[in-house]
Amino acid sequence: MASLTPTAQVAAAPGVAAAAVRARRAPWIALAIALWLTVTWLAGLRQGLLFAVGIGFGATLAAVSFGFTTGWRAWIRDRDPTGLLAQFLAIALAMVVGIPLIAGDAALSGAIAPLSVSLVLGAFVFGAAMQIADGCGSGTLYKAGLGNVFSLAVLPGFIAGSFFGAAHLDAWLALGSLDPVSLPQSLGVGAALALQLAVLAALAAWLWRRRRAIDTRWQGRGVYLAAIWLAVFALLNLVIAGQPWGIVYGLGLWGAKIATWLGADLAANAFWGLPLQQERIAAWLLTDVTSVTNLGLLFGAFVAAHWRGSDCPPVQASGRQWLAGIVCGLLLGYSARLAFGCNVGAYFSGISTGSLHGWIWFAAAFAGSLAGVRLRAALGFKS
Amino acid sequence: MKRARLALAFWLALVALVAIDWQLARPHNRFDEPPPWALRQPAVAGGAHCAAPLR
Repeated sequence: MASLTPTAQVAAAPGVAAAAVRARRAPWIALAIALWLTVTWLAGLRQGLLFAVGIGFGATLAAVSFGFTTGWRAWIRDRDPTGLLAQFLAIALAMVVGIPLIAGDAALSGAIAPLSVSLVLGAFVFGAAMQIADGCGSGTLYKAGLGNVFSLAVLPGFIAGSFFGAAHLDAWLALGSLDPVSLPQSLGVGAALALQLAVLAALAAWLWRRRRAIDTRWQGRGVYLAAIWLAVFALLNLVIAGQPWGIVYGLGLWGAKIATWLGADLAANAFWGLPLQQERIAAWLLTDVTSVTNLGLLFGAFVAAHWRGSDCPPVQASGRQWLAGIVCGLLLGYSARLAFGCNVGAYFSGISTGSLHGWIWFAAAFAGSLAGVRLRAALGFKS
Repeated sequence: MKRARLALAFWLALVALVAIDWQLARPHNRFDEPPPWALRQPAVAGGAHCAAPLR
C-alpha cells in the first residue's frame, strides 16, 4: 500500500479535516430537513415555514451567544455597549421594514399592548429575574437547546409562570390600564419611524460616549451580522404568521394544555376561557404559531451546538443558586405575561412594530436589571 | 454524562408533549389550512401573541 510523503500528508490534512467536519454536520442537516418535512406534512406549510424561521432564530442566537440579558449586564457592569448596540440594530432594521408592511396590510398586526400598571411591575420583575436566571425568553430557550442545565432547570418554571400569569392577568389589569398606543397609527408611519429611529440613535450615541475600553465578549462583526439575521427572521415571522415574533404566549399555552390534561377546567378563567384561547388549547400544539417557532428555536440552537462541534460549558452552581434560578424561572414567565411580553414580544417586537408599551417595557425592565445585576452578585454568580 | 442525560430527558419530554397533544388535541384538518404566508392574504383568526390583551 502506498503511503503519503510528509509534504503530501500536510496537503491532504485540510481536505481530511473538511471531510470530517462535513461528516459530523451531515446528520444534523438531515435531521433538520426531516423535522421540517414532518412539521409541514402534519401541520401545514405555514407552520413548516415558521418552524424553519424558528430554527433560524435559534441558530443565530446560539452561534454568537446573542444574549439580550448579557448585553444589558455587560453595559451595567462593564460599560460594554456591544450587546445593546446589536440589539438596537436588529430592532431598527425590523422596524423600518415591519412598520410600513403592517400599515399597508390588514392581515398583519403589531405587538400593540395596553399601558398598564402590570406592564411596569411585570417588566421590572422580568428585568431583575432575567439577570439571576441568566436568560430572558429567547436566552432561556436557546441555552436550553444548547443543553445548558441551568436553563433546563429554569424552563419548567418559565412555562408554569407563563400559564399562571396569563390566568391572573385580569386581576393585575384591574390595578389600572390605559388603551394601547400604536405610534404609527397616532403619528403616521413616517413620523413614528423617524421618532423611534432618532431615540434609538440617541441611546446608541449615549452608550458609545460612555463606553469603557474593555475586551468585549463579542469580538468582531459576528454579533452585528447576527443582529441583521435576527431582523430578517423577525420580518419573515411577521410576513408568514401575520404577527410579530413572540415567545412567552407559546410557553403559557403549553402550561395550559398540561393543566387541562391534569383535569383543570379553564373554561371559566378570564384569559384561558376566552373563545380564542379555548380554541388554541383544543388545537394541536404545532398549529400554534408561537409554539412552533419556540420549538424551532430550541432545535436551531441544538443544531448550532452540534454544527460547530462545541459542547455547552458545564454549569457550576450552589444549591442556593439553583433554587434562585428555578424561582426566577417562575417569575420570568409570570411577569412576562403581566408585562405583555418578554424581551422578544414586548421589547423587540413591541418597539419594532411601533407600540409605546415596548418602550415602557424597556425602561422598566432595564431598571429591574440594575437591581438584578446586584442581586446576581449577592447570590455569588461569577459572571 | 449527567448533563447529557438531563439534556436527553428534556428532549424526550418535549417530544412527549407534542406527541401526547397530537393524540388528545382536535385533529388537524389538512383541507382547512391557512395560506403559506399572511402577507397580502385574508386575515386568519387563531394567532395569539403575548402582547394580546384580554379580548
